[in-house]
Formats: sequence, C-alpha cells, structure tokens
Amino acid sequence: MNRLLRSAVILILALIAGCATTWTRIDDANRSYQGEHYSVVLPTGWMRLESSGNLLLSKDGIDLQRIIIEYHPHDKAFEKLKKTSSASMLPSELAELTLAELEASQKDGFPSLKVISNSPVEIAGHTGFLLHLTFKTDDGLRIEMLMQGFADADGYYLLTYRAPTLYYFERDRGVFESVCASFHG
Amino acid sequence: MERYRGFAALLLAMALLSGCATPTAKIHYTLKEHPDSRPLQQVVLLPVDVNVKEMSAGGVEEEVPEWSRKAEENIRSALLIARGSEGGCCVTRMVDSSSLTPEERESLEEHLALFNTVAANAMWVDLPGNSAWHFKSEHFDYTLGDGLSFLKTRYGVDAGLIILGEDVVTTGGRKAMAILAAAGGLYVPLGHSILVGGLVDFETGDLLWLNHTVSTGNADLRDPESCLALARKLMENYPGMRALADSKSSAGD
Amino acid sequence: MQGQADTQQLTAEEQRVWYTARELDEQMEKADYLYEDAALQAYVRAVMQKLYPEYAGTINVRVVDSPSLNAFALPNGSIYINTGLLARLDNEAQMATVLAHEGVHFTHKHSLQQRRNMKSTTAFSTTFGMLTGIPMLGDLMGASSIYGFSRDLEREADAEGFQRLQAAGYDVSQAPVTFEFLLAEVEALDIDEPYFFSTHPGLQERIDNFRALVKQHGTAGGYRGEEAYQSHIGALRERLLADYLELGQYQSVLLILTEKDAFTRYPPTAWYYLGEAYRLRDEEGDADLAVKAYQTAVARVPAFAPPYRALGLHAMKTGQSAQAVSWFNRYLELAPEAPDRAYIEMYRSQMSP
Repeated sequence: MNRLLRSAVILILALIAGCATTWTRIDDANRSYQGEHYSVVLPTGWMRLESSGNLLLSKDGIDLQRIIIEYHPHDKAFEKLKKTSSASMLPSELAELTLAELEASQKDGFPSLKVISNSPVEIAGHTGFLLHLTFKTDDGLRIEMLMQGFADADGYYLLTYRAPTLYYFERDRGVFESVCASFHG
Repeated sequence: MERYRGFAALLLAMALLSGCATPTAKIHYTLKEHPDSRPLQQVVLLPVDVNVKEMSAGGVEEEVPEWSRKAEENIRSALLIARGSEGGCCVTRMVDSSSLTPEERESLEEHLALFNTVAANAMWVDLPGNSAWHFKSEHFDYTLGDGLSFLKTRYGVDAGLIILGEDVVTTGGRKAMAILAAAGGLYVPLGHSILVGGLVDFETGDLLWLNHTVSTGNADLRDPESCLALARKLMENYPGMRALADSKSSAGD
Repeated sequence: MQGQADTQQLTAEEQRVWYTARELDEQMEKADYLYEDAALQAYVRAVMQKLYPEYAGTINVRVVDSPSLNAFALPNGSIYINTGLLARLDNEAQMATVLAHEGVHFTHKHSLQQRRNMKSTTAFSTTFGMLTGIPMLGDLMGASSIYGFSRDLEREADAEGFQRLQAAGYDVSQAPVTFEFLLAEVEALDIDEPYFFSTHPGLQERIDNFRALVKQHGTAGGYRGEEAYQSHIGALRERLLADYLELGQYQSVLLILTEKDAFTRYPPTAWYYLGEAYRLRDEEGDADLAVKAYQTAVARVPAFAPPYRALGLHAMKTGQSAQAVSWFNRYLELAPEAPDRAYIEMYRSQMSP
C-alpha cells in the first residue's frame, strides 16, 4: 500500500500559499489577540493564520497539531445541518449539534469516530461543553480532538485542538488548555 | 474525484514552483550544530513502500502491483549495498515485518503513517509563500516520538531508514495526447517519479535527515539503473554514509 | 486474504484491479470502517452462501458501520453492505436481493468490463471510481453499486441477480420492494441520486425492471425470512435511529417511524428516538409531539433510561424545576454510568433549592 499521504488540508494550504493569507509567528509582542468577537492569549513560538476573524494556530504544521478558534453568528452556527444556535441552548445541546456537524462533514459519515468523553466545562465565564474525540485516518494513524464550545448573546464559539495520538496530542494539549483558559467572548 | 495524492501533489507543486531546483536535504539541528553528536553505527531499512501507477489517456492513475514490487526491489538493492569501509553508518539490514509481534507490527505501521504526516508537514513549510515557516527548516526538529525504540532493541541498531516513492508511468495514448495538446498551446501533465527518504533515531524518534527527489518524466523506478540514479540523488547529504556511487557490494551481514 | 490463491489464474489486468480492491479491503479494516458483530456477519455470509454456493471462499461479505444506504462489490470478491441499508430492509429476501445483485458485479467482472470501456477515453471527467468501479475510502458512495455502474451492467446485475434469488428459493416479489423503499426515502429526504453515469438507470427504472421480471417469472411461494431477519437485525434498527440522530438526520428517523406499522419492526424504545427527532426538527407543535413520544416510551419500557432524561430537559426548559429534578433522578438511577452524567448532575444542581 502506498503511504504517500493524502492530506486534504495540506494540499489546500499548499494551493493557497502565496495568496492573500499570511502566516505570522507569535511572539511576546503580538500574543494578545483582540478580535471583533473575542480575545485570547496565543502561545509564543507558534504560528498563526487569521481568516475572517477565525484563527488557525500550529507549531509544527497543521497535520501535526492545530488549534482552531472560530466564531459563528447564531444563524450560521451549524451550516451543514442547517441549524442555528442560541444563547439559551444547553451546553449538552450545543455538544450534540457540534458532533453532528462534524460527522456531517464526512461523505461516508465518520465510521471510526468515537467519543471518549463529553462533559460540561467553564469557559469565558460561561458553561460550555468539552468533547474529547478520536478517529483513525485511512492509513491507520490515530487522531484525537478536543472541542470546547459555548454560546452567548453574540454567537457560538468553538475552540478545537487536533493532533495525532502518537507523541503529539499529549505534548501540546496543555497549550490548548491555556488558550481556552485565556479566552473571552 | 481522482484518487487523492496529497503528498505527491505537494511535492510536484514544490518542484514546479521551485523551477526544478535541487531540493535541500534537511538535517536535524543537533547534527548540524554538532555533526559528531550522534554517531550512527548501523541503520536498518524499514519496509519500502513504492507505488508505481499507470496513467490512462484520461489522466486516471491505477497502481500496477508487479511494477510496484519491481521498483521496491530496485530501491532495496540500491540501498542495501554500502559496507562503509570508511566508517560511518550504513544500511545493512531490512526490518522483517513477519518477525514482529502483531502489536509491534501495528505500532510500526502507525509510526510509518506518522512519518507520512511529519514529512509532508516538514516539506510544506518550504513552499514559496510560507516564508514565515522557513525557520522550521533552519532549525529542523521534527520527531516521531520514542515509540519505535523497540526496534533498537530488536535489531541492535541506532536508526531506521524510511523510503517512500511514487512513479507514474504514462500510456502511449496519454503521451500522444500531450503532444497534440502542446501543439495547441495546452499543457497535459505526464508522469513523474518521486522518492522521499527519512532517517529516524530509534531512541528519541528524531528525524535526523529528510530528503526528497522529484523527476518529471525521465526516471523510471522499474529500471534498476534509473532507480539507482534517483536513489543516489535522494541520498545526497545523507549523514555519515559514503556516497552510493562508490558502493558495489551486495547486502548481507 | 480471501481469494489470494486465485490470483495466479488472473490476467495482468485482472491482477491490477484485484490488487486495488485488496488495498481498499485493508484500508477499511485499518480505518475501523467495519461493524464488528460476529453473529450478524455469519448470518449475512450464510445468505450469500445460499445465493452463490459455488463461490464459497471467494466471495467475502462484510458489514460496514455506516448509516447510509449503500452496498458495493469489489473485483476481488469482497462485498460490502452498510448497517444503514441492513437496518432499513424488512426481510431476508430483500437483503438477498441486494447481495444477489452485488454478487453479479463480481461474477460477471463488471469492474473489469467498465475499466476496459473507460480506459481509452480521453474524457477528463473520468474518475478513478468510474475507471475501476472501486470506490475510495472517504467516498464509498463514489462507486456504489447502487449508483455506480452503467445501464447495461446494472441491468445485467438485476437480471442475473434475480435468477440467483429465485434459484435460492427466495420470494422474488420482494425484489422490486427493495428498491421501492429506497426511492421513497430518496424522494422524501430530497436526496439527489448520486449517479456517475448518465446511462445509469434511475431507481424507478430499476423498480420497473424488477416488476417486469417478477411478472415474467411468476411469484408463487418463496422464502421471505421475516422472523430470521428480525432476530438478527433487530438491534441494528435501534442503533440506526441513534446513528441518524447523532448525525442530525432527524428527517430519516421521522420518515422511518411515521411509516405504517413502523412499531411492528422497531422496538418500543423507538418512541424515544421519535421524540428526539421531533425535538431536533423543532417546528411548531413538535415540542408537544416530542413529550408525548417520550411518555409513550416511559410507559412501554419503564426501565429504559433516555426518555427520562429527555423529559427532564423539557421540564427544565419550560420552568418546571421540581418535575425536571424528578425525571433526572430517575434517569440517573436507571443509568448510573450514563456518559452525560456530568451534564445532568449540573442541570439538577442548578434547579435544586
């Protein structure tokens, strides 16, 4: 079996390299991010890419670890499901829709996706959810994800951390937790 | 939906964007700073994975298993020949997957899948337009983690060499179409040959060396001589190993 | 690997497609796509054995853990059928219709025929799936045998499969029924039938073909196997409902559970899933319909925990705190290891005085 990687995200980013999007390195001078909808403290030494108010962070490359910080207005919260969010939604309901939106993003469903845990969490002064998930790529590489989300009057916020289980996930997990701890909607 | 070739497409994009300039091998920063800091005595060759495909007139690629096996055999022959009379490390053995336990085999397979990901990311940072990432090449510190340390114990070696490859051979119909298209000012992609090589320190998982070579049209991994030439290009700057050009002896312990 | 001994007899071209098929087999296992249930697996294989006895050891049926309606055959004799499709069929004769059809794609080397027809084409819209008939992981619908071959090959598979069905003693009147419900689902859910060949016969044409075959060959007798099928597939049906809800596909749950006689095929716990589907649809009146469905589940299956949680959440959201706490207490008594225990305890503590 050929092992040359099929990495859609890598290729997409390869294709857009040199276009308008620009990666910047995070240092002490620019680690505090204040956007239109949220503020967060970013990890120094990592790289960041900003697009439409959403952030993509990585240290070694986006398939080795990535943190994605997203804001969605309520009416665009779950576009694949064609569902909206609201400030009054229970965290368990937000978690349910987040998981469904993730599974709906895969053409074959997501047969290998397993929920390791799903529990409430405090984030940005709100009660949100924390999903811990795992799945396998088609060449058998285990990937783990943490997804923290909540909704307020302004919209729906989702912070995601994704990395291979082998070596990378645990190594950089603490960075994600720090980012979440610093997050304000 | 063409069969997806993310990594291969990435390397081809790099070859085209860089104007086919010779890629620079990446060396772990500890070796760059202190070349003698990691004396490698012996290196084992991990299972070689080369995929040789035929491209139809319509541009669809389909693997030809006997061609892939031939190419893998050619790569192994090209690599398992150095006896290192000048010292330094050399490839002397191959990992025999059948001698591993099922858990070890599964672990090896998963680490090879991780190598895919690490190598793709390590090369992606070199793309023009990713200049902000170039520090990752200057301070090359990629790793697979220490999960392969069982191979150090099992084989009594310090490191493992991983080789991946893809070779796309075009049919006559495709070549004819390319000629016609060129006459009309259109570009029709033909075949390519890609080799990716990585040297992994089994104790730490550090990627000590990573290189790749791309040929768009002239190489043929099914041919031993052509394969050897491409392998030589790949193994330039391989740490501690005598150039393959001087090596003629056959494999064996 | 299944059928490996046969590869020596294959032409070079056949060996190529066989090899690609084997790659997909390995990937399906490696990426955890398969549904691990030995009893179900054995049952499906036994039916295949009845249909293709001379291919024992060559044809290998596996169940894929996916709620989508899909089945496909690979040129090396691997045949895959989704849990989603199995759960939606009514009886063994319908499953045999699908398996008989898939088997023909293998025995008549349709992948190879398709490959020969497509190989010389210069059309750039030719995909890998179209060339080989072998789908890619991540897009298994891409060359689904239900949607993926040309008109002539699908017709042959229908006709030859029909004969296999009859020879194995199945009730052939079930053959058109199999595709009738597929069509109903596609229409009700407004799904675009994902055909990759302009000559591919639509589902309606398949139904018409089968009706003509039934008329031609008669339908006297034949085994349906409703009870045997129910005993093996019953648990899968409830799981499918849960899978659909997890994917947010509440419309599919509503379609299934509002069919006539739905609750003769689905267990009484399905009332809970019906309630959840109404809750997720969230149109006017759905909240009341959801509550009624949950209450029916509680009445029919008092030891089944999830409807208590659902009633508790509804009571909480409508300001009935005491009632909500009562429902949550009962839920946690029945399911002390519930994966969402932390949420429910939090909600309960927020409402407790």
